[in-house]
Amino acid sequence: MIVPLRSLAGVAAPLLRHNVDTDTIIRSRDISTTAKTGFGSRLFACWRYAADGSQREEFVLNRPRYRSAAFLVAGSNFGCGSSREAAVWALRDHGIRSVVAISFGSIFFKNCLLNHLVPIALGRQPVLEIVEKLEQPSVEPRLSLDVDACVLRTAWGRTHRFSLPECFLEMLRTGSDPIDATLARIEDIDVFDAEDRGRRPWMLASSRD
Amino acid sequence: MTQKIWDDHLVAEFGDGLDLVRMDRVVLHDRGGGTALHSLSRRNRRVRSPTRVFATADHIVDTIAGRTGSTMVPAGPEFLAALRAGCREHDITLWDLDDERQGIVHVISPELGIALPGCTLACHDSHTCTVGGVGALGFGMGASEIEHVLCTDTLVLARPPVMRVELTGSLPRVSTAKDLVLWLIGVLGAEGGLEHIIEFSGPTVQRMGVEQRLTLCNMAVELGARTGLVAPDDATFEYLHGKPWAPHDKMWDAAVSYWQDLVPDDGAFYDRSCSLDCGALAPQVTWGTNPEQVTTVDEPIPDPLSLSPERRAAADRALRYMGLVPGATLRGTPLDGAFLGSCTNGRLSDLRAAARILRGRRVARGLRALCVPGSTHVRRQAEREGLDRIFYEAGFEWREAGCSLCFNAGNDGFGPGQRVVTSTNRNFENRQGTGTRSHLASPVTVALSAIAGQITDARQLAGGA
Ligand code: SF4
Repeated sequence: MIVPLRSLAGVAAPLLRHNVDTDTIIRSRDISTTAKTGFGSRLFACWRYAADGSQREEFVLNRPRYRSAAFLVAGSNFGCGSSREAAVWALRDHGIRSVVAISFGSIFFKNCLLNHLVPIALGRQPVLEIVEKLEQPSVEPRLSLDVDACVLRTAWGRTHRFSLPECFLEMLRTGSDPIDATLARIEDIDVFDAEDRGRRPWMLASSRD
Repeated sequence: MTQKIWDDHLVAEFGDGLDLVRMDRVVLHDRGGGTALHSLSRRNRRVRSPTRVFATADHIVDTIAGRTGSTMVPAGPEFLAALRAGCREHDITLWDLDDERQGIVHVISPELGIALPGCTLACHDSHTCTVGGVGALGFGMGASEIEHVLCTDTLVLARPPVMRVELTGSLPRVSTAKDLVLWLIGVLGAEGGLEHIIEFSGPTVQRMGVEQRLTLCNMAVELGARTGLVAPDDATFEYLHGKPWAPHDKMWDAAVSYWQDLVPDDGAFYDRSCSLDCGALAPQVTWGTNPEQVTTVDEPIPDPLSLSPERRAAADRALRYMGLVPGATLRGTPLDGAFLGSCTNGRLSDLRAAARILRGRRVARGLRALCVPGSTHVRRQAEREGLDRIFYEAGFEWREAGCSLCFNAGNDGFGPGQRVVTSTNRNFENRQGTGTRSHLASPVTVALSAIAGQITDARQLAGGA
């Protein structure tokens, strides 16, 4: 299920809006399955489609230039609001593998990583510059990402460094599962449990009485 | 205080600034709880400590009177079935629709004593920060991360920076914790607390009841915060004493003496600090589609041209969606609906405050008004106090407990273009119905506005009522 991601190159779509919430990325009523896939067509449904279900030509992901986007370039606090992981699943199902933004909602950021979507927080100036270029008809709207080197490159020759904790980079590179990584340290957790029982016995005593 | 709680939950350091942090409690709900449990089963994984995990049905349930064990929400039955099957298989306590303990996760966690001071609590829901109101460190997350907690009792987290928000001054009588937190979001912005754990402190917070503190912490996520927290004190202990899952007898005494040590040290270090005086706080109502787009009820809606370029674009869009113009005041704006409930303001004190206003009065003609208690316990207690009659006679629907129209699950939303005053926490586009225009406000403002059929300044109460 998990596909390693060492590098990525593709079209980037600009969506420079402030505080884009996960309700907007995918509406509650479009989360109609307990599965973790099948949300692509519902991505940004309220912006992408008109009331009669037809596509709104002006919405960025509907424009031929950006239709096949693998990157989304967004504003600040992208993915704020609800913790719904379906927001990430919808982006992924649509083909987006990396979101570059000024900043992210913290739950969304982590949800991205756990689904091997690369969230890249670049700060205001770099993002504004990238968006400006992406919108210029003469510029090829493409980005490429090198996970090993933590570098984002633009089709117009700019290079941006970003950082992510090493264990997440490792996860992206190898497709490893974070639960397995933690289970490998189960002894630490057992030791903690034993100590904690002495320190805060009431946390146990109150359970299931 | 955050440091102390963190240190007492630190299992191991993962390197690169990441810690392995113990989660004491996990709470699951019907929207995603089943997804997580099912995903574990498929991969042959076990829940490490089922006795620490609690589940209930709140999001996709019907709240109309006489509901059954199923739901009319499209695809809802699949979510309910998944949760029930998952809880059975993993031996997890489930408070289902027929259970007296059922309710919105963030309402029942403190109400049942599952959330305790100094404990960590994980839930696949962004408003888990609510439990900071009793001094618990609540973490909201997605379904995959909750699987991690279920399997390991831990979370991998970078220690978040801590922000202290000190609040001074006495809230004017008609202003509530909801007005306060809306105002804070307006002042600090929707990313004013981004990534931080916010410790709310100061005399204003100390004077608040526990339920108001829960309201305050509920919207910490709307500041972008990882979570919010209020130091536990005697009011907290009094609130928790005797709750079913809180410790009893000797254990209670031991717990209290530990909890008393959680108070922040005088010289404690904070990554950020701010101090705000709320002595003149007036009722707040949102005008836009993000909680930061908020203003005092009788002040003009800001001109987008006066905002920063990014905020300007968002404000333009929001005003178009909301059908409002800059310079107008919200007071007097005609309404189609009023909603009272949610994890923000669906507790007994909220219902009482609204009922005091509604007693002997009726909502405006043609206005659809709902009161949805945050939990079955709240509902029962309100009925014992006769509040249901007051709501009913005022023209409010009196509903079963759940999230209800706080969000639109696909069936029971408000209509397109309808303008609603709501005690909930999110005014996002389409949140309460396709095209519905939501104005966040306090329960007091909701009740008064429902009667008047237009957004109303709660200060009109100050003289009498
Ligand atoms: S009441 Fe609203 S905000 Fe609270 S948990 Fe339910 S849907 Fe979420």
